[in-house]
Amino acid sequence: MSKEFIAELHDIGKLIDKDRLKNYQLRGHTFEDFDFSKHKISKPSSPSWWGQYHHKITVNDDINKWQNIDAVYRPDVFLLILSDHLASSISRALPQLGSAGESEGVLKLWNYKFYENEKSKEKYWAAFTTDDDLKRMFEAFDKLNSSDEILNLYHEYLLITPEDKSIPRNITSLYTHIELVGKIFRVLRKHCEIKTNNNGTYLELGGNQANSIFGAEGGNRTSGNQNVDKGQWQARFIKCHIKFPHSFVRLQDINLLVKQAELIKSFVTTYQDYVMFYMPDFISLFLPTGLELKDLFKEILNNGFFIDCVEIIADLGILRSNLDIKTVKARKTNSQQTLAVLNSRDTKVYKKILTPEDVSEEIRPHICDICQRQPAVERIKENVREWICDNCYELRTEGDKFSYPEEWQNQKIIWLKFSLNHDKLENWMQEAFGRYIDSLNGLKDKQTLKDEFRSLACHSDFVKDYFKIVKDFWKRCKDLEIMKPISDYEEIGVCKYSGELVNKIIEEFIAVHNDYFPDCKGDAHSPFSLSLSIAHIKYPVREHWRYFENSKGFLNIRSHNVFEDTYTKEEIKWLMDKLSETERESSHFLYKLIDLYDGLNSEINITVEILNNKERYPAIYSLYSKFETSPEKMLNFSRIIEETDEITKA
Amino acid sequence: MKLLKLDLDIDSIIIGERVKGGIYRPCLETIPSSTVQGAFKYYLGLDLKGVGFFDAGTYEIRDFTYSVKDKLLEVAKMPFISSCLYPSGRERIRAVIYLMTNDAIDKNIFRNLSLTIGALKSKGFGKSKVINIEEIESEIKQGIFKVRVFEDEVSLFGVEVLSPVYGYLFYARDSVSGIYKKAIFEGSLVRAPEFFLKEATFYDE
Repeated sequence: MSKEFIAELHDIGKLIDKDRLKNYQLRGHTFEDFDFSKHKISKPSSPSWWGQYHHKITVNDDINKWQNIDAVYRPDVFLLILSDHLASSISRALPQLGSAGESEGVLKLWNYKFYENEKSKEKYWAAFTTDDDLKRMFEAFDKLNSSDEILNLYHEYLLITPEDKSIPRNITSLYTHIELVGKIFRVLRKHCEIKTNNNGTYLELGGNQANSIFGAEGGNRTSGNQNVDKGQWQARFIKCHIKFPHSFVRLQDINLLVKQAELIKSFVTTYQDYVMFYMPDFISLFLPTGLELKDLFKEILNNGFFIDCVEIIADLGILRSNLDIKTVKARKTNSQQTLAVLNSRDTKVYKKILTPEDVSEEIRPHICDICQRQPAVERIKENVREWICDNCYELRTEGDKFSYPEEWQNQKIIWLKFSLNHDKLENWMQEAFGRYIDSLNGLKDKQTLKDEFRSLACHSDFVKDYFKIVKDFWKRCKDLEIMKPISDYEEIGVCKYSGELVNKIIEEFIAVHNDYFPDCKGDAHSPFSLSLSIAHIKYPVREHWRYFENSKGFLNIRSHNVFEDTYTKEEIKWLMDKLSETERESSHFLYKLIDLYDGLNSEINITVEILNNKERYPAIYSLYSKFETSPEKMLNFSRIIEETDEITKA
Repeated sequence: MKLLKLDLDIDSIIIGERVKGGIYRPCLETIPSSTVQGAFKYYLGLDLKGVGFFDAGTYEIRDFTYSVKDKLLEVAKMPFISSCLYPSGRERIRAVIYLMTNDAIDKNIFRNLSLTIGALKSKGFGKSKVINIEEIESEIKQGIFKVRVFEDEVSLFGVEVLSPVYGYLFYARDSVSGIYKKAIFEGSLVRAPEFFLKEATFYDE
């Protein structure tokens, strides 16, 4: 069987520590000019070897003039270069922006000390540090047969090595970069036709011809008047939120989440190269133009889900997963400098809601209580009459049947849910990148760098850490009596309420946040959050879920009929570390403050009272003056982590 | 687009979301077109189209426990809890209803009109009073829809649906029967009068 061109191998040279292999006088990270005979190493014969020429090509060169590359593999190298550009975090084609130095390991915008911490665990970025390693690296071209093999074999190194060591391009892991390059390459390869005419070979995507990299992708800038030429090829990034109209009437109805997870897993397996990354309710896609979204999502739609998408269509030169934000912002602010470029390059941003095909005009009563989209059949259980359609009833009765333990009866329980908000993540990432750029010296045009930031790879890295953080939370909580209502579904948990348990859950949440996202501020802008919904066991799961769907802050707590609040990480630290030390004394004072506010409805009186008692209750003074935390909010938090309070009574 | 804006004061109200199962019934935080239509038909005998919203900050959600009586068997059914809206920080909930009217309708018929809207009227919920009437004009913009309207009535509201989220609303055919008709739900992408929008958007169409 002939070997395939494996795009992921193009950057394998980035795992070489050149300082430890000085005899070879290595330069750059590609080996197209390496003298194999001099070093008595066999030159790889695999097609993937031609990927080493990806930096040898000038973007304006006609593919037919790429004399160094075997003509058979020129189209592969052509598509590899485009994929490499699409997957990078900062456009390769920006003018010289100065130098801010180099970094050995990857810098995560949400965890600056990530590489430092990995190093302290005896990990090192380079996979190839000796003569034998170098030989093994060249052998890898011929030995490895799939992208998965490469990702698995060098996993440990790829995760801590940056895609590009030069600062500020050091913000993406090489793992994610080559993973994305591989996926994008295979999508382009699948949909691209290689053709020949009198002038030689050319490539065609969506009916448009190109014979040079620049011709295919066009300019790389989204504003101004330089490097903004229209490209021949366009493609799409699509952000898909998988949603459902169902409401969970009984506990077993959460099986819908299992169904959702199964359908997404099946989608990801079927269309793995189109999927850049995914979550339990979100899929990020890279697609060529012309491929019908409804056809791809047919199975998911037929099961009653609907998909809320934002679709970005643009020239490859400017296409990025966050171009929608830039385009919409330019339209909103009527920024002509940007709009002129985006419009001349036929850039489109669509919002589409994909719904199932068979939507009836009307339904005769009764309608399904759960999905509210189908005619229902009457079902009676425990003297309660329900109307449920066959699909929803089947879901309720199949699969794992989670039920609350007997000893929880008549008690208060806590439902907890972790969330990752993608819209917040896009905004946070742009801000975090801006802060990083501002912190660096030696860069010439910081604004251009910020403007041309491509968030896809960083977004994907963040999602990987999100999965890790949630897994780690469960690992830390394995001795606590928290149950997963759906096995393998890590985002939700449920347990019997006790103040001590709430305290521990919050402590572990803060601990994992410190480990994985220490530089992502735990406030209302945080894309990562935890919500706790506390209520009597009889309180419907649907209402817990409804609360989770609207999580606003970093830590959201609702105790049904008692209070609902959000807390920042700083507030939590103060409330747990400082306030708790004197909570017995403080709570009386907090009650007094609340009474004062209820009676006079005046912030000034509260402020004066807190100032007058500043010496006696410094934690309350600090919380109120630093974070504007209201006395009621302080008291609610203190009460919810106290086991003996009346709040625990059912 | 010209509309009639009615400001209402409401004591407390339950507009049940179309979720019937279980013993807990959530309450909508908007006034769908089916509710508005039903109320004005009952009180004025007019077939008026409209939708409404509650002013954020003038209400809070509380629970109301109620046991339905089976009139035939003379026994109480299992009690259920319904969420309902109560005034918060003021005496009454403030709401606004936007009505499609025409010149043939005398606007004065709405002046100080008292009506009852929503569910559990027998328990005192839904008592409302029109406190202000105003003819307003609204710019049509693209955005995310924040109300629920029967699909076959959207054009009457000056709404053009670009990408719909479908659902069903109950449509009363007479006092004892009705059907569920296809409706456009919140979250749909539309071009509509600005006050029907959760937020304006700038997508390609």
